[in-house]
Amino acid sequence: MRWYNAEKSAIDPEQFISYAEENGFIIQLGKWDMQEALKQCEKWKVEHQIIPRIAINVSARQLHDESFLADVEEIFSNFNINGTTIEFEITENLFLGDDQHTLDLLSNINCMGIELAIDDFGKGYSSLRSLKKLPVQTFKIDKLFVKDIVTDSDSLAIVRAIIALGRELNKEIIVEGVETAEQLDILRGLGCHHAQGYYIGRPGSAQELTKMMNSTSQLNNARTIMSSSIGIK
Amino acid sequence: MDNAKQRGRGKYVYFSESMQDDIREKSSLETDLFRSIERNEISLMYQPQIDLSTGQVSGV
Repeated sequence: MRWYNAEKSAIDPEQFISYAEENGFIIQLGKWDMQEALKQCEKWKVEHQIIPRIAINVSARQLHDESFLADVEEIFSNFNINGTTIEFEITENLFLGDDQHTLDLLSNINCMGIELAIDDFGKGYSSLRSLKKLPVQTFKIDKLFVKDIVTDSDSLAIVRAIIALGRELNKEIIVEGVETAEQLDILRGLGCHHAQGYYIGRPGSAQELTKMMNSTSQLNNARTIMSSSIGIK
Repeated sequence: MDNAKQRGRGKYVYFSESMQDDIREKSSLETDLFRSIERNEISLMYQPQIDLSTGQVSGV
């Protein structure tokens, strides 16, 4: 997400999102974010573009807002996005404590056909016990570990172990923060499923992404689509 | 207050001009933020993810 203010030009997303978390504006911002992502998804569908899995960040504050599920349901009902995969990225800190309410909420999201990913996996708190119970489909390994994977054997060991754990638990594994070909080769060798980072592509507009997708072959794209799972109901 | 707390229990700090500026800056930023959506100042960015077995874009 980018905010270009008339006077102040681009504002650091981490800064404005943390303000929005503090003052509650994140609820509106989150709904807007979801609407825009689904609107783009519908546009790609109309244009017969191959539609990648679309991950949307959802903060703890949004999830715990009492009208969250109703809002999501309403927003999703406004778009025709059948057959596409939408994923909510949530952080580990959401699972502090053994909170049945949160588990129920996540299951309800899954029931709506929306996948769940744990963002920045390994950076915060994740008990193995909670991992067992969580209805999440994807682990997104934090870039912190990938950074030194080539030079530091401990980082490599941690990434290897997380990937092995995730695969055993039948999760999709995405690694964040890939910046070199060497890192990518190691991760591929370790059995990681997906990768993201500056080496692969910086964040860009929907148009820029469309261009990138179109530069790849249709045959391979079809295989990619086959590899993604549940769609939106 | 937060500043004093961050320095630890029993510490005190003088309220300075620069702290006043920080508060003003933050409050003006927050006011702007509340209007950012209606002013069309926010845009979504998409960062590609690739499938490591095919090399194709698999997610954003």
